[in-house]
Amino acid sequence: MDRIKEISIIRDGLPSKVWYLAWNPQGTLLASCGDDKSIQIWKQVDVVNDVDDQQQQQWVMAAKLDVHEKTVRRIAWSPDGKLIAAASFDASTSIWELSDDMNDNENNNNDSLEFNHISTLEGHQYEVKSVAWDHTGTLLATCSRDKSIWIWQMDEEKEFECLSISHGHGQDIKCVLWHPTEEILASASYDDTIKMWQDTDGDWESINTLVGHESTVWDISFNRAGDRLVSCSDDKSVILWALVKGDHSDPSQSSSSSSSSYQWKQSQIFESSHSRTIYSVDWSKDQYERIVSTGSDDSIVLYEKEVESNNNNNNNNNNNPDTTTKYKKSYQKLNAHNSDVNCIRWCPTRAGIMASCGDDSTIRIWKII
Amino acid sequence: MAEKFSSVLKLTELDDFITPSQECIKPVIIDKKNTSTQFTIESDGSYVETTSDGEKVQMEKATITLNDCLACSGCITSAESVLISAQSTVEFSNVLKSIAESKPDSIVVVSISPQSRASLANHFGIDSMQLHRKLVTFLKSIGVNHVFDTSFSREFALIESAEEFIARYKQTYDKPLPMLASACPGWICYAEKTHGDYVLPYISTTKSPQQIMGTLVKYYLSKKINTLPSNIYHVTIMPCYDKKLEASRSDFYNDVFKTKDVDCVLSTSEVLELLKEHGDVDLLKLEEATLDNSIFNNVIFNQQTGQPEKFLGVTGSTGGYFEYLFRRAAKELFGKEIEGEIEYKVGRNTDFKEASLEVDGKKVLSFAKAYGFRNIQNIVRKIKTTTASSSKKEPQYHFVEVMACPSGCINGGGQIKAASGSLREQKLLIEQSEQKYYQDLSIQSYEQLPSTLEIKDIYDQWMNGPFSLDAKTKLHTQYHMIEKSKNALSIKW
Repeated sequence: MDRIKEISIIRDGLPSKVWYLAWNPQGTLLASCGDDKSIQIWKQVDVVNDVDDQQQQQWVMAAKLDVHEKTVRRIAWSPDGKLIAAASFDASTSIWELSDDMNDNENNNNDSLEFNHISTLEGHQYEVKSVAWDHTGTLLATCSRDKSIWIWQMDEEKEFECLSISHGHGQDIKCVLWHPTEEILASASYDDTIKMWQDTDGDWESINTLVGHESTVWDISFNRAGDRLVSCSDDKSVILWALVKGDHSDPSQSSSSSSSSYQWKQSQIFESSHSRTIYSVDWSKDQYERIVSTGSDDSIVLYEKEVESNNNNNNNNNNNPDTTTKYKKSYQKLNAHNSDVNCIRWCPTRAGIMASCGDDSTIRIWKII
Repeated sequence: MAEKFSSVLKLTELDDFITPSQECIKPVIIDKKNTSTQFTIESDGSYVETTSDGEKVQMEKATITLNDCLACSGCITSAESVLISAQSTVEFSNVLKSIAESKPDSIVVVSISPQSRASLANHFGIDSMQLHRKLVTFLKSIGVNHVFDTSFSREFALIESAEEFIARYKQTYDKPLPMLASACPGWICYAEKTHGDYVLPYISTTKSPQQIMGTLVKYYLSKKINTLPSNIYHVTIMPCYDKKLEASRSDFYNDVFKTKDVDCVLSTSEVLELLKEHGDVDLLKLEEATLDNSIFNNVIFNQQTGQPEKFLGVTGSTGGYFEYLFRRAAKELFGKEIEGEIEYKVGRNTDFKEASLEVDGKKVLSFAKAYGFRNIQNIVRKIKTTTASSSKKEPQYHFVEVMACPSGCINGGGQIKAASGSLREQKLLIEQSEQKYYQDLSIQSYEQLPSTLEIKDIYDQWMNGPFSLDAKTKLHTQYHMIEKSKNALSIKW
């Protein structure tokens, strides 16, 4: 049975390769970027199909943001959905604010939105690869091919100040992602590892190194509780990690940090989950907590919880990764795109809806059925 | 090796040849005569070129010089390996050997920074003065003629900086505020390569203590001892590897005499290597030398015994620019005496501190210390925003003591490191070196500078006084914007 159904597609106005997309927190807008230096904002409009009277989704371009001199690699919405940060290969990160001018955005008849370019963060020596807002919307992290991670703080006037410049990865850093509730940053690198970072006396230091992948880690995603993490890699595997709190000092575990009371342990691995490099992975924050991955084999893979075994979630001992819920690979949608799929993201407000983009110059909206 | 450099210069690593990390993109120019040639690699590893008429020529090894690196924007400096091979203990020892063998007229001068002395004294567990005297004994035993202390040249740097600041404030010197300190070569290198177009006018034109010492040794001392500048070989011992880059700047090379102001820079930790290379000398067992009190010293001698008792210096193990400029500007611009300790407001991290002076409820002086890369970023960012806005806004700061290393020069990349490398141990080491910096030191207040008659004489007789036209020629320098090379980014995503 086909579990993943395409419900909408965006073709016009996209770069020839679409590298990344991001839903706004309200689930009403999509931001995308690719190899044309701009950021595209898409707005969903519901139209009623004349033939079967069914409501259908259509996406129209609401804005095109242009300031970078080189490609924009990743974008991030602030938690309130009012700001966008864009990481570019021109070594800078731009910040955009959705205009709340009623004349601009609410009372107009057309579907266009107004974004103001309010800041540019410079400092990285080379390409900025990824950008992420923390859950409070005041901290911003960026990472780069220069192997450094920069943490910025935004004040009330939306002025940015650099808090920390951290080193630790031995190679290009592909992405950064904040913990959903705590001030912990995760990063994934070309050096095959994932690192966790935390503020220690004003300096952001690496507190854990997650070793397990055998090639570049392209993407990571936390579960909604923040005690599990999923990662995907050029080694074609997807790994699930679990947080072990307290002094579970087991010398065999993968983390290299001994001083930290937080340890991340590999809890499950899906080897050869795709036939080629896996570029993107996302853990849904709804009650189903599904995982989805995609990559250069053009397919989308769905992972779902195993049917509850004797260890249920109310078990007091559920800190132990061995008792956390197991996942199973439940479905693979082959030929989801006509070429490499670069990114896939769950809609934050509607369970079972997701968007993907790829080298075939399309964004596709999918529904789990 | 890379960790020896200041954090600014640490963005790229030395021993990393794997893409997508940074490779040197500087094109090496090779004189190409033949188009149809064959290359073979001989059994000894050398590359041999066979020309079209069958002639075999050994190919030259392509090399990149320090000057190539300084002029290239490809990386902040991957020149680090070049840097160390060009200015090393081995090079110093070779020069000493050749002087002993064939150049009897040459004079060898070593200038030690007070931060290096503090780090070494802490390492050997002896007093700063003892350390200095034992080191003098060692250096003289290997052929050094004079050993100086850069506290001496630092007084010129402080006085010039203060004069320059006051002139900028009064708008009698055509440079904007805030004035940014210029003593840190890591910061200068970074500014020239990445923010050249708008940040350079803000950087103080006053030379660093190292380079002022270079000028004094090569052009004042040479006259005094009746020799040519090129006959003096001048070595400095610095807390910082980046000082090697500074000494290599073309601004500090004299075309007429074909000589650099500072010929070779050794880091503090390289002094340990030097001791090892000269027969594994045990410094602790050496005699304490009697110091020369006739030239270039900032030392107080005991009147009865004639022995050196204390160094003359200033507060601030990063050179004391902030404190000296703040007190002098308060006095000279507003007639205010800053009583007691300066009250610092600590910023988001301990490497950012500020202090201000209010007159009639108005903030008239606002100074900051910004150490470490992240604080440099914020200063540069503020300047850029102020410059970009068309409104003539009063700058947020009037002077910023910018240094690339967290904790400043006492924690320089060339200092002797903690054995374990743990953060806690490193912090303890910084504290201990800081204590050693103040040991055997007679702290001079701002009014006491110049602290010796000799400094006053040099100013009066050799330069027509501080910040005179003459002083501007001798003690000031300039900065050069380095164009970003267009092909520097080979995109890898």
